[in-house]
Amino acid sequence: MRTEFSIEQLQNAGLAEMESILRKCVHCGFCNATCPTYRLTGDELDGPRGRIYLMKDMLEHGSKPVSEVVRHIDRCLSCLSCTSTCPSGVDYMHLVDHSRAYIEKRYTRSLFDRFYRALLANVLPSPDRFRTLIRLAKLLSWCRPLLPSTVSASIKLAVNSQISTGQAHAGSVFKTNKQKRGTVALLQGCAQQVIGKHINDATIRILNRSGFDVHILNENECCAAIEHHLGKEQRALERIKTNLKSWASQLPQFDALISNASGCGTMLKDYGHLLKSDPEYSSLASLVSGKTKDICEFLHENESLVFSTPRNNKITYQNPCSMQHGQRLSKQPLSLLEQAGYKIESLPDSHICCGSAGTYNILQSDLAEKLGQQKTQQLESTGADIIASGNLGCMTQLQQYSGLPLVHTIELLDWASSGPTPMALNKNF
Amino acid sequence: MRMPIPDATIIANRQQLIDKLSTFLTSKQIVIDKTTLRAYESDGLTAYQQRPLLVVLPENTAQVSEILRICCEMNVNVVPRGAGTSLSGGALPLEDGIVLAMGKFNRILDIDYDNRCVVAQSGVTNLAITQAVENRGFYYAPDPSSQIACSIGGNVSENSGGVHCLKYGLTTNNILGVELVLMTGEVIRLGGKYMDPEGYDLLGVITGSEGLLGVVTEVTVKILQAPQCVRAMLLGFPDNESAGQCVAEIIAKGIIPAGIEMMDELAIHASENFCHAGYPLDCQALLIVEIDGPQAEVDELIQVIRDIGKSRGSQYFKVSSSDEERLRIWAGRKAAFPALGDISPDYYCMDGTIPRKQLSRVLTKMTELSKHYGLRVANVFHAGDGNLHPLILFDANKDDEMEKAEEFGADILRLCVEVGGVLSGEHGIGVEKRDLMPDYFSEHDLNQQQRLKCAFDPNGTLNPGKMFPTLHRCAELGKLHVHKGKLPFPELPRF
Amino acid sequence: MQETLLPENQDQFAELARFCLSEKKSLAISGNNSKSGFGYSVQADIDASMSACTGIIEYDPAELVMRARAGTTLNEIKTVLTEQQQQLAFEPETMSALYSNSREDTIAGVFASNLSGSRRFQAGSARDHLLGFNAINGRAELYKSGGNVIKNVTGYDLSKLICGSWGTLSVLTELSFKVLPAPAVIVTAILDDLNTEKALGLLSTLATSPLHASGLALLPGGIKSALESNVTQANCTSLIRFEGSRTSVDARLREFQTSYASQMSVSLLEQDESLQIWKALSSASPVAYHPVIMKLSIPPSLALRMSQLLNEIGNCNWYLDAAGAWFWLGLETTKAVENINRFRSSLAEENGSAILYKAPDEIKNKVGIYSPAQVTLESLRLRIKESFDPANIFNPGRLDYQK
Ligand SMILES: Cc1cc2nc3c(=O)[nH]c(=O)nc-3n(C[C@H](O)[C@H](O)[C@H](O)COP(=O)(O)OP(=O)(O)OC[C@H]3O[C@@H](n4cnc5c(N)ncnc54)[C@H](O)[C@@H]3O)c2cc1C
Ligand code: SF4
Ligand code: SF4
Repeated sequence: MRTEFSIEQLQNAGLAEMESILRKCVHCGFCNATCPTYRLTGDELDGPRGRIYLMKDMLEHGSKPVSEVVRHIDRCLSCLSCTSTCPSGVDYMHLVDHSRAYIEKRYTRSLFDRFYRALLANVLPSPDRFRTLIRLAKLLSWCRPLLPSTVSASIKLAVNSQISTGQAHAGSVFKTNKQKRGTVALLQGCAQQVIGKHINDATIRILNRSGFDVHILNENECCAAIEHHLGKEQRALERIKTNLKSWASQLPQFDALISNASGCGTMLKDYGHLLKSDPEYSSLASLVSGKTKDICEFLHENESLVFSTPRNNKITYQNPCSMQHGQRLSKQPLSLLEQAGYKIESLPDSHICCGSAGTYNILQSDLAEKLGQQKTQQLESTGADIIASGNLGCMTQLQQYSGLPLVHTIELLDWASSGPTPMALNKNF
Repeated sequence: MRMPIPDATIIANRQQLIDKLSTFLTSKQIVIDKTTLRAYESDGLTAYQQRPLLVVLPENTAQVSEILRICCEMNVNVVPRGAGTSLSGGALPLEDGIVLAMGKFNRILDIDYDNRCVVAQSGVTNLAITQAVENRGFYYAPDPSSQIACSIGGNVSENSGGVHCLKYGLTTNNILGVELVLMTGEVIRLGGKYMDPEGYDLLGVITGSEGLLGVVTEVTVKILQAPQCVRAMLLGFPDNESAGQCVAEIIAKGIIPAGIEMMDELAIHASENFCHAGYPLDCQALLIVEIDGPQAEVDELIQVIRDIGKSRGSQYFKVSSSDEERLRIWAGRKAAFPALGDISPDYYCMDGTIPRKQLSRVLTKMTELSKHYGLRVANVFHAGDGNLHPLILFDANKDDEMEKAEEFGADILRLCVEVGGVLSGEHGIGVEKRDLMPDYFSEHDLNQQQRLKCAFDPNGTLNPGKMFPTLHRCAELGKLHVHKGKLPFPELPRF
Repeated sequence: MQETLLPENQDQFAELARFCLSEKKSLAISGNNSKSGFGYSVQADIDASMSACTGIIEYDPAELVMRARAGTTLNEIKTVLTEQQQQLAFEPETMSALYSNSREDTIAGVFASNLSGSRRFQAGSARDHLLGFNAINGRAELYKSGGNVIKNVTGYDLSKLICGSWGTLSVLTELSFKVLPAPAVIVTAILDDLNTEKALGLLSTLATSPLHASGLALLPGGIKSALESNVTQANCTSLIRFEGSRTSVDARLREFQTSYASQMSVSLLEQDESLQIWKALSSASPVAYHPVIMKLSIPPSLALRMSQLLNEIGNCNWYLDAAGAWFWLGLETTKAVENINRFRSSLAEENGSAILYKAPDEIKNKVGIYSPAQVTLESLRLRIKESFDPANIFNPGRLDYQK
């Protein structure tokens, strides 16, 4: 597509990269068809092609973003379904990330929005604060109807979440009692350690069982995805650098950095790109990105798991966007689940987002709710008894709508290889 | 390319129009903001852009009817838009016109297996129809490469084809009925769940009318039972000629494959890069031939085609071994245009049809033209029906390349006409080929078509500036000039 | 009877039209008048026929296209196509039995009347095969539409409008149409054991089966004698046609017998016999002797109800084709008006069409050859007619219902 950047603009490396992304788009519109928000509203402005156009216009003019444009960029889930669809290889992710940062810098949101976004950016990445906030939210649940939609949505999510007890400490090491095949590091995830510790436990068990020692990585709270997606570019970069610094010395001993929350995995895999022109951190960042593996990806590659207690439950698999579109992993989890004996009911529109999308189900609660309901209806229409997923965010989102148990893939794999019954199944299975 | 001069009064009345529309549409259904309006300024043909007066997103037929009635009353132009994938600029907006975007018409209304049809709102995508019925083994036959995104209403308006239309026909052969809103706001229904409607075939003439005759709000399409067995073959050739001869011979043998497509080297590489379908990268020309039907017939024909290929010097042959592989082969072909976006920032997709026997002449001439203009051209070709898609690769950021590409394109289309072909096989005339119409049609031919337009839209406010190079007023066209005639030739033989 | 003018080429015809325009004369246009029984009677000043403009202009079998002059006969075209193992896939058959004459159809007549045969539900009708034409409009202008290639969307698809316009919009002078390979083998399976309901069930299953049957007809008992074929006299006979290469037809027949008709006795009609019977079905022969003939085109799911209604009414003969999407129906003149109205109202809006193909004038004038149309549609139709023929010189009144 034709672009209109000036020569001066193109001297800026960031803009030059955006221009090369934009030029690849041929405006074919294929991506609209698989964009969850376009499918809901049928408005070009809520589809990737329209958003690309709006971003192009905004960046070319270097102007202050107008509220209508911001509204439509905000409504993007960053699910990257469009990227999977695009035959022309348009790198939508980096375009929208750049634009979010651009908007954050130049656009003044309403006072409430600013406050709330800042709150999210400050609380979610910090397990301690997050824990406190959930407790608070649970107390406040009675007044939900009186609150603005964003707050109300957050409370609803909190009410549906269980705070995990006990904690694995950064730096702890879980040794394998099988023949050792290697050493990996596990990323606990900021929110996950608060409300999804059982997932980490299952991951550790499974890795140990497969012959890997597991080191709990000191994450300095978060991988930076939350700030990054809120457009808080500077803070995200700082956090990434802090992470890199604190991991630097340990890195060489790990065969892989394991992520079991696909949102975080996608972020880590992008560290290399984000810091590619940083003289100090670029090589470290790309080392991290190169070593990062989703747990399913890792297990699939290593073929080391023995399913000693295979299961035959009917499940359906909700592939998180960050997994299937962000990391392009679709076959691996399915194939592992199949090997574990599960009967997989195929899910219609499996490429469409459930509406969770990081902080999206808080900030864009109306669209998120529609997507959540749609997804739930489809999941339930498969006739499966269990919903499997690979990302805590999706599970929390869907829990609001579905009566079916939501279980992390890794818990199911653990269960089928002599691990305990997954928490969500305890009651009925 | 020049568009009709915008009417300043209409532009001046913008606010009044917004007020009227706001009485029955929500704010989310009217795009007013000038920055966001820009996202609507092009369809699948980015060479031309125009910011519309407004974009309106109706939700039901009653709203469409009311919008059109108001526009008719205020003499505001209306440009219907489906998914905006047109490659001929059919949905290019007008400065003094609203874009009527049908994106909210995205529900399938009725799946009727007993009557082998589906009723869908016009904004439903082509692929969604097939997806809705495939679990029962049915599908909707026309499959434009853009099927993932393009709307069924857009398909009706463009009479879209696809890679399977040699055997299964174009849109016009696969629809049974539509609900149509005329520019006056009147709603009519044409056809239904049966085959032969009474009276003039209005359904037939609506199909392919490029949004100039009415706004399609609902479509009834035929669905077919999937064949028992389907196999796709890849045949690689060292040059275009042998591939072309192979196609001719297959058809001369009385075989009508379900699909028969040809790609040249550039297109092979770009598509393979996206879909990893296993296309042979060392061939100059690739044929994808699909055969469907009863198992025994398919097996028999694969053998025949393989032999024909061999006798024409094919250097590569492969048959799909699973449905998954077959679909991947097609995914590559269907993504061929945009996949070229990866090797060239812009492309200009041509769409002429030629008598197949002229293929090598046209290709040779095209190579010469490519040298002349200094622009690369990739070829994707519905080989069975002679529909060429030369994609001229260019860089719109470079000063004169856009103009060169346009001229190159026009030369190709003139060449198609010269060898007995036509300007467009499936993408429509739109604005892109509008000014070439006189190269194919005489004034009488065009006038007759415009008079038909007048019968539907006497004020000419529905999608003006498309299809016809000159706009005549209906009153002027309708005048009957009677010349003195004589009863010809008394010597005429009689009973 | 008036004399009929026979222009020999399109220029002569244009000249004639110019004369009519300036002298305010109207023209009755025909080919060989083989279907003149269709429509309201035409009162024109001059009769003209295209039957002298004949000849195939271009035919290259590998391009799947033929171009011919309007008056070329259907038979001539079929003969030439058969030599190349090709055919007109929409299976046009002469309607002369229906209109009790033995005149030969011209190719322009085939398209102007939008003929089609039993393969209609798969291969479409004439309108799906006309690629382009030259014609003279009511302004005496020679114009063209479409082209000579099989895929074309250049300009409006006037071919569709022309098909089924019965000479009321323009005079066709040259036509380009699609031709397709003819099947090498044709076999018809005949089942006598089933009652109408079961037979319809089977036909509709077959219509959506991958066996790709290209003819699915059902004949009630009384009607078969009219076929003059050795089909036995059972209550209800289902006819199922398979076409293609030998291997393909055999494989499908085998599967048909095992999966769809395992408990039934099936007899087979090979090639020529098969051809004959479908020819008869495509040309409405089984009911042709009735003075009043209709073709009903309906959603197949209504077929059973329609057949019951027809049996209830009695005094009529019918058979159905296209797996129930088509009924050919022969009525007696007594109570015809009442009965026609009854079918039409039973096909309430959007549920089908009921075209009166043949009837004495007074019946046509009472019920109309088409069902009454929506007002908006009717005025649109008149505007379309006017856009081609503003002075109404071509076949005036042929399609205009005047109560
Ligand atoms: C990559 C790519 C590949 C393609 N491949 C093919 C192909 O293989 N075969 C093919 O035939 N085409 C192809 N196309 C062209 C295009 O997809 C088709 O023409 C399609 O039918 C357009 O549908 P749309 O919904 O996008 O319509 P639009 O682009 O939105 O509109 C097309 C025209 O139809 C009119 N229109 C749209 N909706 C309505 C309505 N509801 N009522 C009245 N008028 C309406 C518009 O005014 C315009 O004139 C391709 C396009 C792309 C980008
Ligand atoms: S699919 Fe890719 S090239 Fe096509 S419009 Fe979307 S981003 Fe652009
Ligand atoms: S990232 Fe998701 S929501 Fe955003 S434009 Fe792409 S498909 Fe749509």
